[in-house]
Amino acid sequence: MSKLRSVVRHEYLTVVKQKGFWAYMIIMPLIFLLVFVLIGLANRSDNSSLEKTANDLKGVAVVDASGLVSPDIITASGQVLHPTSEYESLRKEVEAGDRKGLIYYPSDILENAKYETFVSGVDFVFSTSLNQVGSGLLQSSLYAPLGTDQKIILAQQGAEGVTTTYANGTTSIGFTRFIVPGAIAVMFFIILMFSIGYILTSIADEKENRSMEMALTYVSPRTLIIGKLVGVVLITLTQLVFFGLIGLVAALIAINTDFMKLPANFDLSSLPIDPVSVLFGLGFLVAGFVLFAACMALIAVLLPSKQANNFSALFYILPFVPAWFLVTVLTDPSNPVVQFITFFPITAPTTALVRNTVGNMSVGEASLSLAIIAVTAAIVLWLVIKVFPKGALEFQNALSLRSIFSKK
Amino acid sequence: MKPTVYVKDFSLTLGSKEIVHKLNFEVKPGEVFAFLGANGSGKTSTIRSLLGLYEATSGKTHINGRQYTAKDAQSVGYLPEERGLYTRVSAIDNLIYFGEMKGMSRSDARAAGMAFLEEVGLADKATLKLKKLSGGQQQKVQLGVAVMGNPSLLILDEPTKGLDPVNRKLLLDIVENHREQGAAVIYITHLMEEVERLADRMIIIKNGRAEAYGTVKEVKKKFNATSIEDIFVSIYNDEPIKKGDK
Repeated sequence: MSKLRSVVRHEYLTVVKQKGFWAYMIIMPLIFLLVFVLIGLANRSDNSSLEKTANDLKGVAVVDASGLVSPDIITASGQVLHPTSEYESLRKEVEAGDRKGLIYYPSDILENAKYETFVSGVDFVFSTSLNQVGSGLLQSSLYAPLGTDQKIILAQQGAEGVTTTYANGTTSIGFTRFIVPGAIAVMFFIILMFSIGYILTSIADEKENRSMEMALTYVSPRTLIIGKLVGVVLITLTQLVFFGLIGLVAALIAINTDFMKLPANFDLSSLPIDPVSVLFGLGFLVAGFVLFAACMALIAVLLPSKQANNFSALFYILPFVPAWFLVTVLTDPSNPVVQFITFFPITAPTTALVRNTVGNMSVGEASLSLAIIAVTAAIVLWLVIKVFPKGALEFQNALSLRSIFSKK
Repeated sequence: MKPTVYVKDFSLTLGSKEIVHKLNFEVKPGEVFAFLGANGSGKTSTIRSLLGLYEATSGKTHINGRQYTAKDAQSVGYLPEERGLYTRVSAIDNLIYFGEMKGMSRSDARAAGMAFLEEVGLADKATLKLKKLSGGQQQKVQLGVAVMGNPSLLILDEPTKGLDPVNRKLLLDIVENHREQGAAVIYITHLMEEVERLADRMIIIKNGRAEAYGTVKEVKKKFNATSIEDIFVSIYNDEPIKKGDK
């Protein structure tokens, strides 16, 4: 037991004492933050650009040869109605650059369902907006006979559907029920991106720097591999706590600076927790972690360091397969592809976590998927312990299938 | 006196290749046993079998009367040919870690590690990461790992490879010191002058088979030679020792 403790301490401290470990953990969120800020700044820039476009639209001339567009609506919208006789001269003004834009509704619009817009200069935003204004003026005028403004707006924009979700006999805001299982899914993706690779690095390093033979002289393969796994668990927990704190601070700053707004009736204390989905989520998290860590350990044992690093990419790509079919995963859980990736061991953890989050997975499906992940993890772990003494001492070549299943 | 190492009719086949065939030898406490052979002759495989890293196809490979497992780590100090330590960890932390692996308490391992670093003149570099040390300095730390806890068996595979004469002498002195304290030493080397200086008994293997075995004096007498090197060359060239070499 004391050897296991020493291995765990060694594995943990070797990683967390590295400056690179903390630099990576700080730099990655900073990069995300930078992207987030840039998106925010771009949105603000978009807003000012839209304000300018809105001002430009106010001076736009409108000529209505169809007689369908209401002069009052044109005036209320900020555009200027001109007589049909001025159409040609107005068009020439736009052509000459003396006027920003012109909307023209021809007399045959009922037959052709087409109207024309003329824009001075290449301005994608203004051009698109002018078309929207043209459609808006026509639609509003056609809706006008309905009567009140509210009726017109309602007819044009429709009404928002407000969903009340009943879960376990209580009413909750729709999206809040996704928060806890969603957080578990996010945790798994963080683990996948940041932590799983450490076990590969640890074994590959020991093979690369030839310390493995020394280590295996004094500690059993089982103790060494379990110690490495537990070490990675502790490293993962350190990362999750660190990221959790960063996320909390960022969220508090974002909320207090109005950068991010929570729904008006959002209450953290009344966050709905569905014990079944939370338990399955944690199950997928733990079993998935063991599976991927064991897979990484296996390829590190079987292959020389460089090949192992290359091959490990597979275990960073395959778990993201559900993202390629995300809409299908969310909307059509009985689809054969979704079923396959729910039960295929390498894609199962991420697919199951996503489906568990949105609640489109039956208890039977979840149990079967979890069982497949857990059994596969156990088999891979057993295989790692079996081949560890052979592969660990094979520094140059990949371990052959024959030697894997032969006597040691 | 019971032998520390007892190898009886030991054979090893890896894949389809027989690496070692019916090997027999013993190493007694307080002696340096030279384990000689050309590259690929089966020395490392024999040592790995002795340490339980490979499983013997047949025969016995006992240390202190039984097959070695990691539970007996305190009784063995091993400096493998393919050596290396944790380069991202400090010298003293490497020594402490392996000391703990050998069953020492953390504080005892720290004290023993520091004492060794003092002995080899590396105390001021104890907290430096291993990768910051020179090759020779790293090798001394590796020897420190092997001798931590005063094991009853030291297995040293080319321990002086790459060392300058000063550090080579220092290392050989450390080996002799452990022999005087009663440790059995299996000493693998290609430097025959080290065998002449240190070895009490020896074995030369070729293609996994023993070609010469006994005290250094006995082997020389059997081959009618004055130097181990002549015997080695004669065995590997399949030639009798020339008269001028006697």
